[in-house]
Amino acid sequence: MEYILMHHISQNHFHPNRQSVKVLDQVNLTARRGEIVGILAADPTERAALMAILGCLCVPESGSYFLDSNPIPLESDKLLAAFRNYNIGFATERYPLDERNNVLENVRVPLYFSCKCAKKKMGVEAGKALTVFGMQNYAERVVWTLTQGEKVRVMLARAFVNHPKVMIGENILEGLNHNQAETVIDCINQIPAQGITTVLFMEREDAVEYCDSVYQLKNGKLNRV
Amino acid sequence: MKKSNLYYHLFFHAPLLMLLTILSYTIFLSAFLLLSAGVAYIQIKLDWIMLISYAIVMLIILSVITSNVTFCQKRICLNLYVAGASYKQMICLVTRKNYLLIFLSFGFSWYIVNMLDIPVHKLETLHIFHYGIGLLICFAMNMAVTSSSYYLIKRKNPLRERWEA
Repeated sequence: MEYILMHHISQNHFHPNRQSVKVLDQVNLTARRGEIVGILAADPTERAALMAILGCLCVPESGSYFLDSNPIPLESDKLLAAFRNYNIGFATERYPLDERNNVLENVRVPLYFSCKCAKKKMGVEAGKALTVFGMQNYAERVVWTLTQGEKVRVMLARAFVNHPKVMIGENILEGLNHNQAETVIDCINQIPAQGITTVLFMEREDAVEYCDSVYQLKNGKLNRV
Repeated sequence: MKKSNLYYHLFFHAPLLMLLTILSYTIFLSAFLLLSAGVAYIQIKLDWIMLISYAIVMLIILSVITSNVTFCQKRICLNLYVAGASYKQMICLVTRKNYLLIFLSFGFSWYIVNMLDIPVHKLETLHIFHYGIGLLICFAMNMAVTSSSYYLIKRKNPLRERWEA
Protein backbone atom coordinates (compact mmCIF):
# COMPACT_ATOMS: atom_id res chain seq x y z
CA MET A 1 0.00 0.00 0.00
CA GLU A 2 1.48 3.34 -1.06
CA TYR A 3 1.68 5.97 1.66
CA ILE A 4 2.64 8.86 -0.61
CA LEU A 5 1.18 8.78 -4.10
CA MET A 6 1.83 11.60 -6.55
CA HIS A 7 0.46 11.14 -10.00
CA HIS A 8 1.26 13.31 -13.06
CA ILE A 9 2.00 16.43 -11.06
CA SER A 10 2.86 19.48 -13.17
CA GLN A 11 3.74 22.98 -12.07
CA ASN A 12 4.77 26.20 -13.79
CA HIS A 13 6.96 28.86 -12.26
CA PHE A 14 6.28 32.48 -13.11
CA HIS A 15 9.32 34.71 -13.37
CA PRO A 16 9.04 38.42 -12.50
CA ASN A 17 8.84 39.21 -16.23
CA ARG A 18 5.72 36.99 -16.40
CA GLN A 19 7.51 34.32 -18.38
CA SER A 20 6.26 30.88 -17.48
CA VAL A 21 8.70 27.98 -17.06
CA LYS A 22 7.63 24.39 -16.45
CA VAL A 23 9.46 23.30 -13.29
CA LEU A 24 7.62 20.01 -12.78
CA ASP A 25 6.49 17.96 -15.72
CA GLN A 26 4.23 14.94 -15.12
CA VAL A 27 6.01 13.94 -11.93
CA ASN A 28 5.14 10.57 -10.34
CA LEU A 29 6.31 9.68 -6.84
CA THR A 30 5.45 6.78 -4.56
CA ALA A 31 6.66 5.88 -1.08
CA ARG A 32 5.74 3.33 1.54
CA ARG A 33 5.15 4.00 5.23
CA GLY A 34 8.41 4.38 7.15
CA GLU A 35 10.51 4.60 4.00
CA ILE A 36 13.36 7.08 3.56
CA VAL A 37 13.17 8.59 0.09
CA GLY A 38 16.04 10.62 -1.34
CA ILE A 39 15.45 13.14 -4.10
CA LEU A 40 18.49 14.51 -5.91
CA ALA A 41 17.74 17.90 -7.36
CA ALA A 42 20.44 20.36 -8.34
CA ASP A 43 18.06 23.08 -9.49
CA PRO A 44 16.74 25.01 -6.42
CA THR A 45 13.57 26.13 -8.24
CA GLU A 46 12.56 22.58 -9.18
CA ARG A 47 13.46 21.38 -5.70
CA ALA A 48 11.42 24.13 -4.02
CA ALA A 49 8.43 23.48 -6.29
CA LEU A 50 8.30 19.74 -5.53
CA MET A 51 8.91 20.36 -1.85
CA ALA A 52 6.09 22.92 -1.70
CA ILE A 53 3.61 20.54 -3.34
CA LEU A 54 4.73 17.56 -1.26
CA GLY A 55 4.47 19.70 1.88
CA CYS A 56 1.01 21.06 0.92
CA LEU A 57 2.33 24.62 0.80
CA CYS A 58 0.91 25.13 -2.66
CA VAL A 59 -1.51 23.51 -5.01
CA PRO A 60 -0.26 21.76 -8.17
CA GLU A 61 -1.57 22.99 -11.51
CA SER A 62 -2.41 19.48 -12.60
CA GLY A 63 -2.18 15.94 -11.29
CA SER A 64 -3.24 14.27 -8.08
CA TYR A 65 -1.61 13.77 -4.70
CA PHE A 66 -2.71 11.30 -2.03
CA LEU A 67 -1.27 10.91 1.43
CA ASP A 68 -2.20 7.71 3.25
CA SER A 69 -4.99 7.24 0.67
CA ASN A 70 -6.45 10.66 1.52
CA PRO A 71 -6.61 13.33 -1.18
CA ILE A 72 -5.11 16.72 -0.33
CA PRO A 73 -7.93 19.11 0.62
CA LEU A 74 -7.72 21.92 -1.89
CA GLU A 75 -11.07 23.52 -1.09
CA SER A 76 -9.84 26.11 1.35
CA ASP A 77 -6.70 27.55 2.86
CA LYS A 78 -7.93 26.63 6.34
CA LEU A 79 -8.35 22.92 5.50
CA LEU A 80 -5.01 22.80 3.72
CA ALA A 81 -3.31 24.46 6.71
CA ALA A 82 -4.85 21.93 9.12
CA PHE A 83 -3.84 19.05 6.83
CA ARG A 84 -0.29 20.41 6.69
CA ASN A 85 -0.15 20.84 10.45
CA TYR A 86 -1.26 17.26 11.16
CA ASN A 87 0.56 15.42 8.39
CA ILE A 88 3.71 17.27 7.35
CA GLY A 89 6.87 18.26 9.18
CA PHE A 90 9.59 20.41 7.63
CA ALA A 91 13.29 20.43 8.47
CA THR A 92 14.95 22.84 6.11
CA GLU A 93 17.01 26.02 6.24
CA ARG A 94 14.37 27.57 4.01
CA TYR A 95 12.14 27.78 7.10
CA PRO A 96 14.77 28.45 9.77
CA LEU A 97 14.48 28.49 13.53
CA ASP A 98 13.76 31.74 15.32
CA GLU A 99 17.20 32.62 16.66
CA ARG A 100 15.82 34.94 19.36
CA ASN A 101 13.83 32.22 21.08
CA ASN A 102 15.02 29.19 22.96
CA VAL A 103 14.95 25.63 21.64
CA LEU A 104 11.74 24.63 23.43
CA GLU A 105 9.84 27.65 22.11
CA ASN A 106 10.91 26.83 18.55
CA VAL A 107 9.88 23.19 18.82
CA ARG A 108 6.50 24.17 20.25
CA VAL A 109 5.49 26.29 17.23
CA PRO A 110 3.56 23.59 15.26
CA LEU A 111 1.64 22.67 18.42
CA TYR A 112 0.11 26.17 18.62
CA PHE A 113 -1.91 25.42 15.49
CA SER A 114 -2.82 21.87 16.43
CA CYS A 115 -5.60 20.55 18.67
CA LYS A 116 -3.58 17.48 19.60
CA CYS A 117 -2.59 18.68 23.05
CA ALA A 118 -3.60 21.29 25.59
CA LYS A 119 -1.56 24.46 25.98
CA LYS A 120 -0.18 23.31 29.31
CA LYS A 121 1.12 20.07 27.81
CA MET A 122 2.85 21.69 24.85
CA GLY A 123 6.12 21.97 26.74
CA VAL A 124 5.98 18.29 27.66
CA GLU A 125 5.31 17.25 24.06
CA ALA A 126 8.12 19.48 22.81
CA GLY A 127 10.41 17.96 25.44
CA LYS A 128 9.53 14.45 24.24
CA ALA A 129 10.35 15.41 20.64
CA LEU A 130 13.69 16.84 21.78
CA THR A 131 14.45 13.60 23.64
CA VAL A 132 13.96 11.56 20.45
CA PHE A 133 16.73 13.58 18.81
CA GLY A 134 18.98 13.74 21.89
CA MET A 135 18.44 17.45 22.51
CA GLN A 136 16.61 17.29 25.84
CA ASN A 137 19.47 19.02 27.68
CA TYR A 138 19.38 21.99 25.29
CA ALA A 139 15.72 22.93 25.83
CA GLU A 140 16.43 26.27 27.52
CA ARG A 141 19.32 27.28 25.24
CA VAL A 142 18.81 30.20 22.86
CA VAL A 143 19.08 29.01 19.25
CA TRP A 144 21.94 31.28 18.17
CA THR A 145 24.22 29.61 20.73
CA LEU A 146 23.85 26.17 19.08
CA THR A 147 26.16 24.56 16.52
CA GLN A 148 24.91 23.83 13.00
CA GLY A 149 24.47 20.13 13.82
CA GLU A 150 22.43 20.93 16.92
CA LYS A 151 20.27 23.36 14.94
CA VAL A 152 19.52 20.60 12.42
CA ARG A 153 18.47 18.27 15.24
CA VAL A 154 16.21 20.98 16.68
CA MET A 155 14.66 21.44 13.24
CA LEU A 156 14.06 17.68 13.08
CA ALA A 157 12.43 17.83 16.53
CA ARG A 158 10.22 20.72 15.40
CA ALA A 159 9.18 18.71 12.35
CA PHE A 160 8.53 15.65 14.51
CA VAL A 161 6.65 17.26 17.42
CA ASN A 162 3.20 16.78 15.87
CA HIS A 163 3.94 13.14 14.90
CA PRO A 164 3.32 13.81 11.21
CA LYS A 165 2.94 11.23 8.48
CA VAL A 166 5.69 12.72 6.36
CA MET A 167 8.86 14.56 7.30
CA ILE A 168 10.58 16.62 4.63
CA GLY A 169 14.23 17.57 4.90
CA GLU A 170 16.38 19.62 2.55
CA ASN A 171 20.19 19.60 2.38
CA ILE A 172 20.27 18.39 5.95
CA LEU A 173 23.94 17.43 5.96
CA GLU A 174 25.19 20.57 4.26
CA GLY A 175 27.78 22.51 6.25
CA LEU A 176 28.14 19.80 8.91
CA ASN A 177 31.44 18.24 9.93
CA HIS A 178 31.87 14.46 10.06
CA ASN A 179 30.80 14.02 13.70
CA GLN A 180 27.78 16.29 13.38
CA ALA A 181 26.71 14.52 10.18
CA GLU A 182 26.99 11.11 11.88
CA THR A 183 24.74 12.26 14.74
CA VAL A 184 22.16 13.72 12.36
CA ILE A 185 22.14 10.51 10.28
CA ASP A 186 21.58 8.48 13.45
CA CYS A 187 18.60 10.73 14.19
CA ILE A 188 17.19 10.31 10.68
CA ASN A 189 17.54 6.54 10.94
CA GLN A 190 15.29 6.58 14.03
CA ILE A 191 12.41 8.24 12.17
CA PRO A 192 11.12 5.16 10.21
CA ALA A 193 10.61 3.29 13.52
CA GLN A 194 7.96 5.91 14.38
CA GLY A 195 6.04 5.04 11.20
CA ILE A 196 6.96 8.30 9.52
CA THR A 197 7.95 8.50 5.86
CA THR A 198 10.97 10.73 5.32
CA VAL A 199 11.68 12.60 2.10
CA LEU A 200 15.17 14.07 1.85
CA PHE A 201 15.88 16.63 -0.84
CA MET A 202 19.57 16.80 -1.70
CA GLU A 203 21.68 19.00 -3.90
CA ARG A 204 24.59 16.55 -3.77
CA GLU A 205 24.72 12.81 -3.18
CA ASP A 206 25.74 13.17 0.48
CA ALA A 207 23.01 11.09 2.11
CA VAL A 208 22.07 8.75 -0.73
CA GLU A 209 23.39 5.61 0.98
CA TYR A 210 20.97 6.05 3.88
CA CYS A 211 17.88 6.18 1.65
CA ASP A 212 15.67 3.20 0.78
CA SER A 213 14.87 4.64 -2.65
CA VAL A 214 16.44 7.46 -4.62
CA TYR A 215 14.96 9.68 -7.32
CA GLN A 216 16.55 12.32 -9.51
CA LEU A 217 14.74 15.52 -10.41
CA LYS A 218 16.16 17.00 -13.59
CA ASN A 219 14.57 19.28 -16.19
CA GLY A 220 11.22 18.92 -14.47
CA LYS A 221 11.20 15.11 -14.71
CA LEU A 222 11.49 12.80 -11.74
CA ASN A 223 13.21 9.49 -12.46
CA ARG A 224 14.07 6.62 -10.15
CA VAL A 225 17.82 6.04 -9.88
CA MET B 1 17.25 35.74 11.64
CA LYS B 2 20.22 38.05 11.16
CA LYS B 3 20.90 40.68 13.81
CA SER B 4 20.40 43.56 11.37
CA ASN B 5 17.00 42.11 10.38
CA LEU B 6 16.05 41.77 14.02
CA TYR B 7 16.80 45.45 14.68
CA TYR B 8 14.84 46.36 11.57
CA HIS B 9 11.82 44.45 12.89
CA LEU B 10 12.15 45.83 16.40
CA PHE B 11 12.76 49.47 15.63
CA PHE B 12 10.91 50.09 12.44
CA HIS B 13 7.94 47.92 11.57
CA ALA B 14 6.33 47.24 14.92
CA PRO B 15 6.65 50.78 16.42
CA LEU B 16 5.44 52.39 13.21
CA LEU B 17 2.38 50.17 13.16
CA MET B 18 1.85 50.73 16.85
CA LEU B 19 2.05 54.51 16.58
CA LEU B 20 -0.24 54.68 13.57
CA THR B 21 -2.71 52.31 15.17
CA ILE B 22 -2.76 54.20 18.46
CA LEU B 23 -3.09 57.53 16.64
CA SER B 24 -5.98 56.30 14.51
CA TYR B 25 -7.89 54.74 17.37
CA THR B 26 -7.24 57.73 19.67
CA ILE B 27 -8.64 60.21 17.15
CA PHE B 28 -11.61 57.95 16.50
CA LEU B 29 -12.38 57.37 20.18
CA SER B 30 -11.94 61.05 21.06
CA ALA B 31 -14.23 62.08 18.23
CA PHE B 32 -16.80 59.49 19.24
CA LEU B 33 -16.71 60.50 22.92
CA LEU B 34 -16.95 64.21 22.12
CA LEU B 35 -19.84 63.58 19.79
CA SER B 36 -21.74 61.32 22.13
CA ALA B 37 -21.02 63.41 25.24
CA GLY B 38 -22.20 66.70 23.80
CA VAL B 39 -20.06 68.43 21.20
CA ALA B 40 -22.24 71.52 21.02
CA TYR B 41 -20.89 72.88 24.30
CA ILE B 42 -17.34 73.30 23.04
CA GLN B 43 -18.32 74.27 19.48
CA ILE B 44 -16.70 71.38 17.60
CA LYS B 45 -18.57 70.66 14.40
CA LEU B 46 -18.82 66.90 14.03
CA ASP B 47 -21.54 64.78 12.56
CA TRP B 48 -22.20 61.08 12.19
CA ILE B 49 -21.43 61.03 8.45
CA MET B 50 -18.03 62.53 9.13
CA LEU B 51 -17.42 59.97 11.86
CA ILE B 52 -18.42 57.04 9.65
CA SER B 53 -16.33 58.29 6.72
CA TYR B 54 -13.37 58.67 9.08
CA ALA B 55 -13.93 55.11 10.32
CA ILE B 56 -13.93 53.77 6.74
CA VAL B 57 -10.72 55.63 5.84
CA MET B 58 -9.13 54.38 9.05
CA LEU B 59 -10.22 50.82 8.28
CA ILE B 60 -8.58 50.96 4.85
CA ILE B 61 -5.35 52.48 6.18
CA LEU B 62 -5.06 49.99 9.05
CA SER B 63 -5.79 47.05 6.72
CA VAL B 64 -3.08 48.12 4.29
CA ILE B 65 -0.62 48.61 7.17
CA THR B 66 -1.44 45.21 8.68
CA SER B 67 -1.13 43.32 5.40
CA ASN B 68 2.13 45.11 4.61
CA VAL B 69 3.55 44.31 8.02
CA THR B 70 2.64 40.67 7.45
CA PHE B 71 4.58 40.84 4.19
CA CYS B 72 7.50 42.69 5.78
CA GLN B 73 7.72 40.00 8.44
CA LYS B 74 7.46 37.41 5.70
CA ARG B 75 10.20 35.20 7.15
CA ILE B 76 8.41 34.81 10.48
CA CYS B 77 4.99 34.50 8.88
CA LEU B 78 6.29 31.91 6.43
CA ASN B 79 7.54 29.81 9.34
CA LEU B 80 4.10 29.97 10.92
CA TYR B 81 2.46 29.10 7.60
CA VAL B 82 4.73 26.07 7.18
CA ALA B 83 4.01 25.00 10.77
CA GLY B 84 0.32 24.80 9.91
CA ALA B 85 -1.15 28.28 10.29
CA SER B 86 -3.62 29.48 7.70
CA TYR B 87 -3.37 33.00 6.26
CA LYS B 88 -6.16 34.13 8.56
CA GLN B 89 -4.47 32.75 11.67
CA MET B 90 -1.25 34.50 10.67
CA ILE B 91 -2.96 37.87 10.35
CA CYS B 92 -4.82 37.29 13.61
CA LEU B 93 -1.46 36.83 15.31
CA VAL B 94 -0.26 40.14 13.84
CA THR B 95 -3.43 42.03 14.79
CA ARG B 96 -3.85 40.40 18.22
CA LYS B 97 -1.73 43.03 19.93
CA ASN B 98 -4.02 45.71 18.47
CA TYR B 99 -6.47 45.00 21.30
CA LEU B 100 -3.84 46.15 23.76
CA LEU B 101 -3.25 49.22 21.58
CA ILE B 102 -6.96 49.99 21.67
CA PHE B 103 -6.83 50.12 25.46
CA LEU B 104 -3.83 52.47 25.24
CA SER B 105 -5.75 54.64 22.78
CA PHE B 106 -8.66 54.60 25.18
CA GLY B 107 -6.40 56.03 27.88
CA PHE B 108 -5.12 58.75 25.55
CA SER B 109 -8.58 59.68 24.34
CA TRP B 110 -9.88 59.85 27.92
CA TYR B 111 -7.03 62.28 28.65
CA ILE B 112 -7.66 64.40 25.53
CA VAL B 113 -11.40 64.62 26.06
CA ASN B 114 -10.98 65.63 29.69
CA MET B 115 -8.35 68.23 28.77
CA LEU B 116 -10.77 69.71 26.24
CA ASP B 117 -13.42 69.81 28.93
CA ILE B 118 -11.29 71.79 31.42
CA PRO B 119 -12.28 75.29 30.16
CA VAL B 120 -15.99 74.51 29.90
CA HIS B 121 -16.72 71.82 32.50
CA LYS B 122 -19.81 70.75 30.65
CA LEU B 123 -18.98 67.37 29.14
CA GLU B 124 -20.20 64.27 30.87
CA THR B 125 -17.19 62.35 29.69
CA LEU B 126 -17.03 59.96 32.59
CA HIS B 127 -20.23 58.28 31.55
CA ILE B 128 -19.19 54.65 31.32
CA PHE B 129 -21.77 53.89 28.64
CA HIS B 130 -20.09 56.18 26.09
CA TYR B 131 -16.68 54.67 26.72
CA GLY B 132 -18.07 51.14 26.50
CA ILE B 133 -19.76 51.79 23.16
CA GLY B 134 -16.59 53.47 21.84
CA LEU B 135 -14.45 50.50 22.83
CA LEU B 136 -16.89 48.03 21.32
CA ILE B 137 -16.81 49.93 18.03
CA CYS B 138 -12.99 49.82 18.08
CA PHE B 139 -12.97 46.08 18.75
CA ALA B 140 -15.40 45.52 15.89
CA MET B 141 -13.20 47.67 13.69
CA ASN B 142 -10.13 45.61 14.61
CA MET B 143 -11.98 42.47 13.55
CA ALA B 144 -12.82 44.18 10.28
CA VAL B 145 -9.13 45.12 9.86
CA THR B 146 -8.18 41.46 10.34
CA SER B 147 -10.68 40.27 7.75
CA SER B 148 -9.89 42.92 5.17
CA SER B 149 -6.13 42.33 5.61
CA TYR B 150 -6.81 38.64 4.95
CA TYR B 151 -8.47 39.47 1.63
CA LEU B 152 -5.69 41.90 0.72
CA ILE B 153 -3.06 39.22 1.39
CA LYS B 154 -5.00 36.56 -0.49
CA ARG B 155 -5.39 38.93 -3.43
CA LYS B 156 -1.74 39.89 -3.43
CA ASN B 157 -0.49 36.37 -2.79
CA PRO B 158 -2.78 33.58 -4.01
CA LEU B 159 -2.53 30.17 -2.43
CA ARG B 160 -0.81 28.46 -5.33
CA GLU B 161 2.19 30.81 -5.26
CA ARG B 162 5.00 30.25 -2.86
CA TRP B 163 6.42 32.82 -0.51
CA GLU B 164 9.99 33.09 -1.64
CA ALA B 165 12.31 34.80 0.81
